[in-house]
Amino acid sequence: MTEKTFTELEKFNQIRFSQTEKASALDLFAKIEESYSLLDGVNTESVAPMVHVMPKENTLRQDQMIKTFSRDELQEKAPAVSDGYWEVPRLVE
Amino acid sequence: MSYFVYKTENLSKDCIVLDDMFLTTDGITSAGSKMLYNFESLFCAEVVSLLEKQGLKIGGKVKTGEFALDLLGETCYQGALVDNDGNLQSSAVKALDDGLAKAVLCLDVNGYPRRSASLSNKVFIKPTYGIVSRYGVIPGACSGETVGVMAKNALGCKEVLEKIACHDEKDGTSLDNETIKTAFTAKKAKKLALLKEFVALCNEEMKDEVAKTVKKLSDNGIEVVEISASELLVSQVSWNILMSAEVCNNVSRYDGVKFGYRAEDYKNIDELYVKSRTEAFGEYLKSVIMLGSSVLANENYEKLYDKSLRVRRVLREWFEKTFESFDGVIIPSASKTSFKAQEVSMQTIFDESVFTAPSLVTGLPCVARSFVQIVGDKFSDSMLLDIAKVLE
Repeated sequence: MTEKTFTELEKFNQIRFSQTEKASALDLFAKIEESYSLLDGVNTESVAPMVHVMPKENTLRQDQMIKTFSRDELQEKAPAVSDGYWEVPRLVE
Repeated sequence: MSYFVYKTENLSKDCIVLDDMFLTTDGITSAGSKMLYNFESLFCAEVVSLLEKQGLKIGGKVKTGEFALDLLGETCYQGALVDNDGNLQSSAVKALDDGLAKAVLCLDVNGYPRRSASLSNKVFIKPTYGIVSRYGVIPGACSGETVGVMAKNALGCKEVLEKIACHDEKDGTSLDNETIKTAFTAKKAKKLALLKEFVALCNEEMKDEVAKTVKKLSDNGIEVVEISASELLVSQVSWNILMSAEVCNNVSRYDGVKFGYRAEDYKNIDELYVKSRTEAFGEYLKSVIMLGSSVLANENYEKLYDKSLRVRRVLREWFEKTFESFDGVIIPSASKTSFKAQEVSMQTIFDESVFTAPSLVTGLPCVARSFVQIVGDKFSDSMLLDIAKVLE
């Protein structure tokens, strides 16, 4: 992974690394990326992707009302709440 | 340092303890992450409700590594648990050693419960994917992670597994009860394959332990044949790609807005997101997130993510073919018998995943005991526990 890609992915994922963390991560990624060549050794030309490990039809549930949680319950442990809304910094100036 | 997240009044040698990946209403569920340091769920995981309905008491919750992705719990935001010799020890094992539980439910996302059980004279069963509900479990790598049971012996695992294995309409991957029942059909293992390429990755001490286990199996009438399985080594790559992609998506919900950790200083919404996630997530989780978004990027999607899904099918077919001749395959649980806390790095976590990835990527059941894991065909859970019993 290049430094440029690394910085782009940091922005994309809304996380940042310290210089020390970045050095360790790039070192790890280099080693993991080396291992990707093992995939090339597997012939998957006529193999379908396996998304679900167990065969299963589409799962449907009855269209019934069920008990859910109130806004007050959901906001009980919220970092910041104001008049029943989750509070965040102003988005539009 | 206490290795419990919280204890209840039910804590005793007969109770069930959970690792910190299960939602409960008795206390905090943090998934070993500062991001969820104060998170209290409004509902319980289905497996917890099932146990309580059947009269079992929940004694509390023990710490895990951050999102259960690590080696032996060392990435927990509150620190690693280390024994008197400086070796990492999982909290689940410690609870059993201290006689504070008859069994511990653990989420196997990247192999930590199997690794810790088999290196510590305990048993862990990672059941066939889909026979135990994951509803109410903190999601990490949903396509392979499985709720399993750790106990001092196979009988303890079986007793709890039978209570939690049933269909749950709240979990879209839950199998039907008729199918689940087949996991408990009596079948005796006669012949196992020992995968030599995996043994070759172990140090001498570990090789000796594996040899002792193999001898014990042979002495008890189970034939063990060494076979070559170099094609299975790609499981590690495939699982790490799928796991990191799924973890990356699953932890994108943690942004410091609705629940969990929020940074103290921020000027705008972007800073709120970035500072909250940067301050709350550990180094290893952040690296997994980066890898996950990298393999899902447009230029890598087909050659890495999609390819891994196809490789997953090839691996499953390899197992199915192997099970035509063998009842299960033996893989060492780790490259060595113990891990010093200060020697473990992110690279160690990746390297050791070579041993635990095959059953995760294929969804096959696996029992860990006496330094090895035995992977069986789908729904061979009961047979695997019978093999573990032989090793006691």
